[in-house]
Amino acid sequence: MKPGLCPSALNAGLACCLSILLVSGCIESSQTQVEFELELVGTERTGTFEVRDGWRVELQQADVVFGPLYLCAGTQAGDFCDSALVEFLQSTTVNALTPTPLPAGRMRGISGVTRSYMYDLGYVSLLTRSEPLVTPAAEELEGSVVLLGEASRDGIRFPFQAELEIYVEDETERGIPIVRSSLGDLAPHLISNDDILSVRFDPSSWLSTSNFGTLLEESTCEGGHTIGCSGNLASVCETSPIEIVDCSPVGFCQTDLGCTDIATIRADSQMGRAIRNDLVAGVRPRFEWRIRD
Amino acid sequence: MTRSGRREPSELKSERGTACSCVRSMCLCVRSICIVAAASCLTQNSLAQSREEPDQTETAPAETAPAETAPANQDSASTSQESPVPPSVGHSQVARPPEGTSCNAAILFDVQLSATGRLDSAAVALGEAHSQPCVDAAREALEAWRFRPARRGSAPIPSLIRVSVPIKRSLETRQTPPNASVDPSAYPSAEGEAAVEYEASVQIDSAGQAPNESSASSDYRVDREILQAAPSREGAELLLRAPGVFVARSMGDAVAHRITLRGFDADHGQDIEIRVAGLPINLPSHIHGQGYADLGFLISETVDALRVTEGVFAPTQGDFAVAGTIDIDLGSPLEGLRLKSSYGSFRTFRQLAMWSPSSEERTLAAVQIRTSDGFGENRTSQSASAVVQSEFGTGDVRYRFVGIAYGVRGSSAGVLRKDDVTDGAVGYYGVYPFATARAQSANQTRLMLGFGAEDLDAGGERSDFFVWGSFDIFRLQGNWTGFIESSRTLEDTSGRGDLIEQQNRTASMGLRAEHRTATRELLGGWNAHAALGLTGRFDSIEQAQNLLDASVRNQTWDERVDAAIRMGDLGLHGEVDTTLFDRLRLRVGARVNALFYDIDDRQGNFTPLTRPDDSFIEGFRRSAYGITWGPRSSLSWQLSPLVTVMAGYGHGYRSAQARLLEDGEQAPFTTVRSADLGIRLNYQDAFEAKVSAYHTRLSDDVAFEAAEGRLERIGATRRLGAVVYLKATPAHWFTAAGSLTYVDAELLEPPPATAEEPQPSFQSGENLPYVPPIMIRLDAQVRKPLNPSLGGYPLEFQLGTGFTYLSPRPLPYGEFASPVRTLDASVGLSWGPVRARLEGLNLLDRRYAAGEFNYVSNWDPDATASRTPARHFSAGPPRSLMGTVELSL
Repeated sequence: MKPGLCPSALNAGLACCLSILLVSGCIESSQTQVEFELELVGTERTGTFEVRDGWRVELQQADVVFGPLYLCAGTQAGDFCDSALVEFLQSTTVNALTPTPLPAGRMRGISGVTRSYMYDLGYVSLLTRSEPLVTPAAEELEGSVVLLGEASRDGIRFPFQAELEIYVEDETERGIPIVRSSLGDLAPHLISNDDILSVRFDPSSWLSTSNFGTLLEESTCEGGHTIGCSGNLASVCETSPIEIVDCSPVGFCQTDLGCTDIATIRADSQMGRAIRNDLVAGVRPRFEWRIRD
Repeated sequence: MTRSGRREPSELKSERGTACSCVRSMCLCVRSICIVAAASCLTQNSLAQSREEPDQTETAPAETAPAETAPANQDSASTSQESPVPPSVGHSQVARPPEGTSCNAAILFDVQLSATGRLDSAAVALGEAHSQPCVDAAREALEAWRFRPARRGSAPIPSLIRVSVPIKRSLETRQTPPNASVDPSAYPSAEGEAAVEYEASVQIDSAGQAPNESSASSDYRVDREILQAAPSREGAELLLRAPGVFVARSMGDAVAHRITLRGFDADHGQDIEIRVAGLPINLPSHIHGQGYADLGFLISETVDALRVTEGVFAPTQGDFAVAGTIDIDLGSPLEGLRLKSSYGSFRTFRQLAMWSPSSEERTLAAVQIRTSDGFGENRTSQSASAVVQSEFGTGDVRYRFVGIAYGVRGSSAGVLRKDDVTDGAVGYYGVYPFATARAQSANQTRLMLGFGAEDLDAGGERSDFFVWGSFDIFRLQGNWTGFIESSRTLEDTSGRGDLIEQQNRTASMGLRAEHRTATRELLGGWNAHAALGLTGRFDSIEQAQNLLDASVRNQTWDERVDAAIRMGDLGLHGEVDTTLFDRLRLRVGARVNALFYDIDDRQGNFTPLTRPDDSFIEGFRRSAYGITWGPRSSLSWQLSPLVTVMAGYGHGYRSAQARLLEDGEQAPFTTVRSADLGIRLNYQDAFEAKVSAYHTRLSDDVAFEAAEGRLERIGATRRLGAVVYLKATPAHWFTAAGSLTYVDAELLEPPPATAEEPQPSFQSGENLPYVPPIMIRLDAQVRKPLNPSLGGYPLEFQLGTGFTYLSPRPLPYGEFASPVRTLDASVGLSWGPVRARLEGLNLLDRRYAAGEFNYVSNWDPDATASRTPARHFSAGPPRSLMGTVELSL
């Protein structure tokens, strides 16, 4: 602190005056700075769950990068949330299969009633760049979401995996977080310093519209694929004549990938788009408030 | 008696046994016997003086009871129903003593006027002790004065009055020579002010104009002695001396100061009507803020006095007089050519050349050039200004010409996020390392001309008119938010830096005229006069706002405003000023204004990219009209010669920002209701105290909106506060003044939440942002002749200091700005024609914010953008030292 003019006496006098004003209510402010804890919670999944078209899925890994997160005062996030109430600017990888709350950090901002939210999945669209910003968590996970599991139906069983990068691709939405709550997704809540916000993920919802059958769909070289599949036989389209490979010793054939022991869900596949859509616009994680003990 | 020219109150008996009490500037009578009483006052005092200082005695008017006074007395006694109308000054001029003569700033004379207004005799007033050359020079000047005689009814009558003749001084004669037989207590209280004393405080200045006719307890006149006490960076900082006023530059030297006045954050002048030598400074519908008023052209040496009306009580107060009105008078008490060079911290250089003739105190010409690297980064500036004022004319008609020319260009560091400074990302006095930040700058050019005439006729009537013209060019490049904007004009274009370009060109012309009737007696002891005035102005405004990309030669990447505005403002005001028994004064008036707008908003009906099929051509041409009126009134009740209780009430207004008007809309005015109650204590001019409480209510306030870089509506507000002002001159070499202002400013009806603004930054019931609840200002000056003189020239030592304190200011979203504490001081030595001075500003080197805000920004283009409001500030200047050498030729 720099020296002042009779600092102690002067400061004490002025502080006294201001204290009186504050105590007397002469200086009022209806908004205050708030800061509270954010925790991320998964959902324990033992056994299988059914997804579209009767496929049953068992997940061994379901990690998602969550954040940055903004809570907004308006009922519509996005363009109408230029000014948020509170925010969490980092991102954290959540094991969505673990029900143990993971402290992610603290949300900071100003008091008010939150009515909507928006967040990214580790890839942040910036106004200043055409490419999204990859957060450290996403960089470490090598994607927004990583899934590992096994799908089965009618005696067919195969493992699958997915590593998807999910970010804003529409130029008109540049700078806006990719996941925006819909009306009613978030009940109005007056935030305070005593709050703890839990965001609960259920990975089964990420696969709710996925069709695992597409991973085993037969395909031919005429369809423009690099590798076609017919049962367990893979056709390598780039060779001439077309080379046929039996994938049975390895596992099975996956279109464009060939013989593999685990089906890979690519971002540009129907399943990749379905998972992206479920994460961005499908069933949302649950935002639960509780008071700090 | 402690100081010459200040008579101790003395109880006199008039012929009718009415008790009168006389002090320096007034004689008060319980009943209006007036001339006799005044004559008695003067007679006794003159007699006393004659006894005390026979060598000073000139024609003693009271020793020989003036022959022409007696009939007046008889007339008074016989026609007591008619109170006399005091005499007035038609023409005056300052005295010019011989070279090398040292005189005080003014000499008081007791003057006897004949029924024709002729000066029959003049005697140096009681207690006045001056060297004979000074008295001779003053008498010579006084003989050139022209008076209108006192009247009873329509009949002119002889009278006795007290006149203060200002002395025009050059630097080398300003000092009091050590061997001169001058009463040290004779130091004047107000340089250059000439006062005519008649009965109950009739005061007329040297130009025949009423000086600060204090109509409410919140009227303040800050004279040169206080203005020049503490150092200031520039002329506009003289405003700090007025109670409740704080000024600071937050966007560099080329953007107007932010001004706070008694609980109003007037931003760049939206709530304060500012006039310099009668020229209106506020620019209506300016792109950077309504009522934008840049006082950068002001040369501190040319400022003679500030007249600050805090509140709205006078009918002459016009547009923007919401918090009040600041009139800045120009003048120079020093004659001849002055050359003044200053150099100091941050390579700041200032050169002043100023000339003032000997005959007219208010005639002057001054040119100033200033360059500075500025403190910290990106704050270089260059400016030049010229001020000319000329008064001329003889007899009853006086003419005045005023010209002001100004040009400035300055870079700006803009605002910084407080968290960035805390984290070390940018220095406190630094600037963000981006082209969009470093390109922040502004330039302004302004030319103002005015010409007026005033006719004071023998009957006490006064007519005056003033025509003026102004041309202003303003251009600003400012970035408040970093990188959060997107183009609405160009597809998929965003994040190129929110460098807002604002352009504004205003050409204005206007006039004002006023006629004031002679004072008439309505009933016994009840006098009144009326005044009727009109004002008119026409403004032609071209303005634009764009977004620029500074990294590629200021490419325009979005257009936000492109408009032409033509507007007229006609006003009519009137007032009846009544005085009852010389103690109770009631002024009742009103003002009405009509405004006309023609707006060509070329960006109106903008077609967004998302609606390419809209079938219309952009543009929104419209017109609007509005009329407003309101009462203006004040009441003063002189309880005793020392104590006056004052009250005032009035409605003021601020015109609407033209671009916000709809077609055919009855132009909404921001109206203010201002009430004031206070008490004034005045003890022999050696001590003055004012305590006032005030309440104001605004219909629609505005506050700074960072995203747009301009002011936006925030709804109705009210202020409740008090001001304490003290001024003391306990010794002729020491003057001090101080003020404390408290305000509770509350937001009443902020705009409701909308889809676009679901969480408004302003909430009902919260304290107004940017308004400090407590403000303190202290000024003190010591000016003491040193003994002996050196080389035949007198020596004078000067020491001045000023202290400002602002309590934490509320900010949007519940934040509070840090308090401001600055201490300035100067020390100087005068030796004949040479004067040296060392000035220190912000001597404690306290870091403070010239402006502090709370809003959303993103100043890291490569990181996740924060969307919560953050503290931003623009740094105030650190400690700086300036050395000045002045030479008088």
